Amino acid sequence: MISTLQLVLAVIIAVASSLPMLFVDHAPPARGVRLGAAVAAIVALFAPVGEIAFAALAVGLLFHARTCGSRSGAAGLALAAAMTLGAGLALALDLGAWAWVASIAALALRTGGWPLHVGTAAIAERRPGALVDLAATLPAAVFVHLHHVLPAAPELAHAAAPVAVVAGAAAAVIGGLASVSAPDLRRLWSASYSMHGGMLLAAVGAAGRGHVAAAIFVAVSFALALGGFGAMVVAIESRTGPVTLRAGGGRSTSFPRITWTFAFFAAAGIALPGTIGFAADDLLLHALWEESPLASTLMLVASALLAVGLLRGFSGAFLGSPLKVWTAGDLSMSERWLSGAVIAVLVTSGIYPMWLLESVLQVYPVGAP
Amino acid sequence: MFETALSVSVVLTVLGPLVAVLFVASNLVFMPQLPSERLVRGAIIGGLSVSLAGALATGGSWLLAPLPAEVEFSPWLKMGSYVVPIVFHIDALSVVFSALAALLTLLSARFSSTYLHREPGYTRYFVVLALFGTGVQLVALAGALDLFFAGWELIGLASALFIGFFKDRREPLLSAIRAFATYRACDIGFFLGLVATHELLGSTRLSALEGAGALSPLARNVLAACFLLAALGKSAQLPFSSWLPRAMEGPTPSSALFYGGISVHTGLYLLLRTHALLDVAPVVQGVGVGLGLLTALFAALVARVQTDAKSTIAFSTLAQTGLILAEIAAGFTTLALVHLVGHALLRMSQYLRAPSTLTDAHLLLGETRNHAIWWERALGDAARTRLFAASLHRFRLDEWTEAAVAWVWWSATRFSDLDARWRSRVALDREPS
Amino acid sequence: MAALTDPHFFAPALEPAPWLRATLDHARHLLPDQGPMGIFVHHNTLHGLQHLPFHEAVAEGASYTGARPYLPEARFRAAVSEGRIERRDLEEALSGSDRPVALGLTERGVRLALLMAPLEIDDVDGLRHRLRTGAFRPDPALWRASEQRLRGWSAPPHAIRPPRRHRDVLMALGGPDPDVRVHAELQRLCAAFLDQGQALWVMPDRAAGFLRAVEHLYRAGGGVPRGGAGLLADLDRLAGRPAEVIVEDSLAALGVDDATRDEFVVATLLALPGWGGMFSRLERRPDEAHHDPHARLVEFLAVRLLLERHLVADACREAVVPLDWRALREMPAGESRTDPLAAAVLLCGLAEAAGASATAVEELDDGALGRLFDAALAFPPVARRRVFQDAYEGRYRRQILDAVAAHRPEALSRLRKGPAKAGFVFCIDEREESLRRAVEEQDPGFETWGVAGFFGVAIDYRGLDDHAPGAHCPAPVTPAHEVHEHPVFPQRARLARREHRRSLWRRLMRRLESGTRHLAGGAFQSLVLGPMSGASMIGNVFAPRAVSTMHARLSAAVLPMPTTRLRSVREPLGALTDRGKHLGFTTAEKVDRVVATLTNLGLVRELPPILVIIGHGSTSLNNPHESAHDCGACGGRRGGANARLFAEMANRPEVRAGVRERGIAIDDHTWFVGALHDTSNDDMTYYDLDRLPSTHTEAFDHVVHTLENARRENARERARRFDDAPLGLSPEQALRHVQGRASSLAQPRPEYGHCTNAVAIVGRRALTRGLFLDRRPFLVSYDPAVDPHSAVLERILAAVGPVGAGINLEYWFSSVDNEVYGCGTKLPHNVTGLLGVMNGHQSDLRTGLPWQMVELHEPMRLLLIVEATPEVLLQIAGRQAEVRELVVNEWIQLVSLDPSSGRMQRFHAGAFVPYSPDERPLPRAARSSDWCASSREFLGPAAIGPAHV
Repeated sequence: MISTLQLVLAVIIAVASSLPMLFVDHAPPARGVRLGAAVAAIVALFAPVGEIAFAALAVGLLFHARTCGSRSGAAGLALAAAMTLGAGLALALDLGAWAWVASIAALALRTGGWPLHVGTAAIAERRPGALVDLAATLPAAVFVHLHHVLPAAPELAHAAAPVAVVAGAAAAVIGGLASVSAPDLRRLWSASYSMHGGMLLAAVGAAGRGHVAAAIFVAVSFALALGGFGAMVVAIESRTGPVTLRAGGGRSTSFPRITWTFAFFAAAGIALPGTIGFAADDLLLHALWEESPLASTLMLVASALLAVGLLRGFSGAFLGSPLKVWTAGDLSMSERWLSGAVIAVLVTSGIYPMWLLESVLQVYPVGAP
Repeated sequence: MFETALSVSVVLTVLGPLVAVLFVASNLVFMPQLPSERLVRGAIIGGLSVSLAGALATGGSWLLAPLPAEVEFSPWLKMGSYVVPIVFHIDALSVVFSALAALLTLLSARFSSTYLHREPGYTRYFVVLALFGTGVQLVALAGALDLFFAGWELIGLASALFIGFFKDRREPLLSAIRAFATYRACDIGFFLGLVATHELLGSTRLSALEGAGALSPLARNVLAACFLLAALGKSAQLPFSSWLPRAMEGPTPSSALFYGGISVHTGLYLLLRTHALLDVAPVVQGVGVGLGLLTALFAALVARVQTDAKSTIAFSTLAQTGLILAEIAAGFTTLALVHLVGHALLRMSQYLRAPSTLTDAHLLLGETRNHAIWWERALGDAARTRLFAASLHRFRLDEWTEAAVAWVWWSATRFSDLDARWRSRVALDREPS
Repeated sequence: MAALTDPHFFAPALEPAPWLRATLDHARHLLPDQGPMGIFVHHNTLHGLQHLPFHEAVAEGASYTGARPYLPEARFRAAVSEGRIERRDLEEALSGSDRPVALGLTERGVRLALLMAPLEIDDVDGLRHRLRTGAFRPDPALWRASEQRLRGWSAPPHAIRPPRRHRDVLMALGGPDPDVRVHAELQRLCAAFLDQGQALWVMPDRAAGFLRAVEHLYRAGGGVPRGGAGLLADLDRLAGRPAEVIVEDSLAALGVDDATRDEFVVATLLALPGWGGMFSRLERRPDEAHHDPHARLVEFLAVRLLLERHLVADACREAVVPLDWRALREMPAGESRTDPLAAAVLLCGLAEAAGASATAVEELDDGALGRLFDAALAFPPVARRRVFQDAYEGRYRRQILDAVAAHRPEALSRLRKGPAKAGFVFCIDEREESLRRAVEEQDPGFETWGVAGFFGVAIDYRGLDDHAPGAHCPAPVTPAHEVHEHPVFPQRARLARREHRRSLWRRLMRRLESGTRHLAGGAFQSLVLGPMSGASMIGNVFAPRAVSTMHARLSAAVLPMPTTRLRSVREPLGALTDRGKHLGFTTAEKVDRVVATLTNLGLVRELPPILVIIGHGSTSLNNPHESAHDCGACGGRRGGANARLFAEMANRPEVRAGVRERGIAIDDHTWFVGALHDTSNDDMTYYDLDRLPSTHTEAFDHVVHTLENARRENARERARRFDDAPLGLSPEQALRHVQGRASSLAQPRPEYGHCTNAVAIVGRRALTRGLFLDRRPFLVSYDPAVDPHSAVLERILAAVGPVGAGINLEYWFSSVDNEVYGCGTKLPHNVTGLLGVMNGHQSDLRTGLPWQMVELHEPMRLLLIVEATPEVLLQIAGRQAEVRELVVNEWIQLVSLDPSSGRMQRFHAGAFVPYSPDERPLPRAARSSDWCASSREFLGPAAIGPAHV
């Protein structure tokens, strides 16, 4: 029985995965492999049983590992794939608790929540576009976790929720802190990714106590807002080379469209009202408060730090007096249509989040264990 | 029938500018050419005019039936008992503030359509202005804290974007970051207050705050302190005042609208709006009066030594907002509202006329002006010089602030260094990226 | 003993060490020389470098200030593709030998190829992206060959600019900018010290000079800047020492030695040029300030170095580099080489320009390749832009000279016999060109003249409402005479009423204005005045014209204006004002002035019955630069008083008698009327019409009617340049439009000022009458026929050369680099200290012209066309040093137009070279509006009016 939620998530994964494929990349990896990752994620999403879902996820992760352009990153993703397989195995063996642990570990590895960010940070520094791929398939992983693991280990999930929530929030604070001092755009991208990783960990943790909607919203916003952000990093770097944030950048004069699309995605990532990020933050903070007010506060601090870090990074990369005249063209028509579509989804879900929430509630009615 | 009319007018007030933004933004993304000034101006001024018309209609209907009314739409989020309602609260306060904000925003847009002609960033300016238009109407009319917060964040973002409008120079960008960081830091208070209100009082509706009296004194005071913190940041009260004078980097009409007219007063409006809570939190009231008066004193002193038009107005504004804060905290809310409205109009027109300073000064040449007033004469020479020096340096508030946040930067850098070193230890990538 | 402990004991300024004085003088030449902004006088931005040839001065100025030397190359290339620059202009401007280089290209050929296409690439990433996306498609075979050939070959290195200060090295190492904190502190101190009355509380001890005032401030304990702990210790150690000593001490602490100190000090002063320039200016011209500021540049330097030394020391410690400048400046700067991909573009482009084949490229030997790259590197971007600049000017020069040559025969055939129906004397200002043309188009019997807009009467003028007299004359002149405006006898009571009310009003305004800054006053005004000022603001924003009309009516009703006269007669003889000037003129002095001006105009016989003398000024609101739109010949003031005074003098019978004695046939029937033209809202004001003889009523009616039409036409011609005025306005609509601009608070461009200036034509109006010149020429009337000894011409050139060049070059520099030489966009401007504007909350003082004034400007050196033979011009240049400097150093382009033959010769590289115009018929239009109404751009010359048979 296929739910609306699965369909919605499949569409989101498809849109988010096409971001890196349509953007002219610095070092474009094979499109086929990238497509494979997206397909694997969609298979995982619709898989009727947990074992198949996890196997598909693991395959997807291996595809990602293949294109990530970094050995550390590939190792991290391979580890995540192993964890994912392990989770599937544990499910098959009815070891629900082990499945929960392995699945959480795999999620943390692929979202780069501190201190498991070694792999993703290496990818961000070497091939930032590959992280966009990785973010795009995240909703599938989160869905699989919620759909197959939580029912298998309800007690552990319930008991571990406060711990996971605080750990996630703390990781988010560290990610936020890293974003404030990021010296270049890639490390800013890496730090934002890692901060959102912490956020996702907290959300998935809180889902153990029934706050499923928060986890879905955070994952969708991760894939779209953060993915868009990463796509813009790729777009600007392929035109002007690696971007340091120290000197005045002034790229907005030559690339107004990249600049403002970048700004929009960054703002959506830090919960700009009117985007899905705001709804995700609202749900998440509500969920966190019930588990631990401390976690809420930490999460707010993290979000404030990331906001400042992003504004600083944005002005360092795009604003300021131009270092020189850049000659490459602004976003091409296809890049514009695609980012426009993503923006449209972000805004629609921000202004009317009930369409997504309702599909979540269909699957996970409130009050269900 | 009446309710429908009210709902329509509220919707127009809030969404008018937002629709204009979406229209311009879709033009930006999908059209091959960047939109023309004419199109941008037409869309945004149109949206803001709709907003003003809506605000006036709302005000008019409230005058017909001057009872507090709530206009409710289907909830924004609804998940079991967790509901984020879309509800607007129509009462004397919101009607006045909404009309004032809509009027001044439209005024600023009209002024800017001439003033910013041919300026690079024309589109950006008007988009941000309309975002502000929506944000401020959300703030003015919101009947629940979530909605209020959404508007509040939009105002903060718009403010930062305007301060950094002249993006080619360094100063505006640093000032924008400073203001934005202050907002976000203080907004932690708002969001915490919001979530806590929901948990403690069962709803984020403003009407729920009436029940705050039932909470424990500690909870009440902490909750009120959260909102006070947010208000202090937005209205630049001590100790968060250092961003306001630096916010003068933007184009004159945006400075006028934000730091003379509306934005700087929204913190005060938040306190007026959540007054039910403040009333039952005597400690926070005391702190509010104290900080307000302190800000007023500080700013009035500094204003006397300012040598440029905009800083002079900025500090004079700060002094009055300090007074208004003290008035609110002391419970004189009606006086505070009248003071706020008059003050917004006065400062806005002063800002808009700031470039005339030279002409005015030449007209007034020969009229005495730089006379010491009684307390200056009463001070000894040394004390006077000392006070002058302190005022000229704004009591070194900027540097205190910088020192206070320097550790964040320091620890962030240190941490990143350590982190990078550790990662390179375990990295498998040998060749540099 | 007491004297020794007194900190002021050493204070009397010692003579600075000779080297320091020379260095400060050098810096003064590079610092902006703009006075307090209430009166804006146009001057050459690099006036201090005028002794150098133009292009050298541009390079020198750019190297010190970091300014752009010329427009960006992309702008010039766009001009080439739009046809604004033609290939032949480039070829004419291009130097370079015919020495062969490689691939069949000569040196000149390489240069031409570099000019015609952007071959030097500094954006390699962008290039890569463009190659990948197909946005850049070089010829495939050549491209492959070039890449192939360059494999394993490295291009010669570029030179890198040496550092001048610690900051340059620290920034190059990627550190934070140490100037930021120094400037934050210094700007605030400078503003407080130089403030002319904006602060309510004046800086203590200002009279003791900047250094002492700052010292007192810090000692008083109001806090020193962060990292300034050493500052107090320094102040203790150096207590009471003069600024010169402190400068030397600080330089020693920074390790600056004799060899580099000059450069170091100049660069240090230029780090904050606006405030430094103001100190320098006010030190020399304290009279320009309301309060004598006791400003001294050396004290500014001393304070700066005191603030800087510890911060720089900290920064050096942090960056782990030596503080000692001798050691620091030797730190290797590295070198930069052309990227292989960029080199390939260059090679491929040159090969394409040479028409070479792919094999030729592949077979290039290393020597040839090296020669090719050397030749390209020897023609760096700045040299290219210099050629572009010359070509840009050359194209316009050709256009205008060709037009004048083509128009001349017709113009001469049309010379009018007998007196004109009425005459109009305008300022030479290029903004009056269109109005003059419009007047002449109205009635062929009318004639116009142009003369510097103070009409030869240099005065300190005090109008009825003025607080103090102001100089109405060109900036270098100091008037010896003062003239006041008085009410006529029966209306003195009216004046008393007016003054009483005005003073009440001003006191109230002052009270209110400072009241808003007090706590209680601010609260009171918020409650009472807030709504009122809100209402007036709303009115002004939504209906500026209506509100300003209402305002004018209201003030006319409340403040009645009495009928007035200018008192020009010096009576009693020898009376001096309290400022030591003569009050009014004697008859002989008047005769001198009237004769001089009429002779300048060539108006020595057949004077028309009515002569309207029209000064000009400009009205705008909310505009700190308002005075920059006023009359330059009146020192940045309005020329109405001068016009009125001139008319008053020339109408006096005793003056006329004297004038006639000097050989000018001035008729009793001739009547002079003074008037003022507002260049912003195109209003005309006439003076003393109550004295117009009744015999002239009808004729003057016709004059007024003509001017009414002409100003509308003028408004229409101006409106076409405003993007926010629709094209095709009717004259009436256009007039309303410009009036709206002048009365709007929100209008940053009330008018475009001198934005269109490009050429000055000194000669008979007949030569240019009926020629559409698009408001670009300064039109100076000069009739060689009445000037056999060239005395008049010498007078004219001595005045017009520097004034015209001053305006033109200020526009040149401000539009070439609006951020450095100009003051950037007006929008964030903030009036500070009543001295000038800064950006936003705190910045350097911004000098020069704002972007909104220069955005349309085409930066070209003034083309001065004089109806005189080269011999006469050379004689005059020999006598007039400033004219010679401007011409020989090519700050202006001089062209001689032979009065009898019409032959043209252009002064270039030290000599006059003949110019042979293209013989093309001029385009022709019936009326000016037909020619220009449908375009917003600059337009070429055209003949206006029916073709002459």
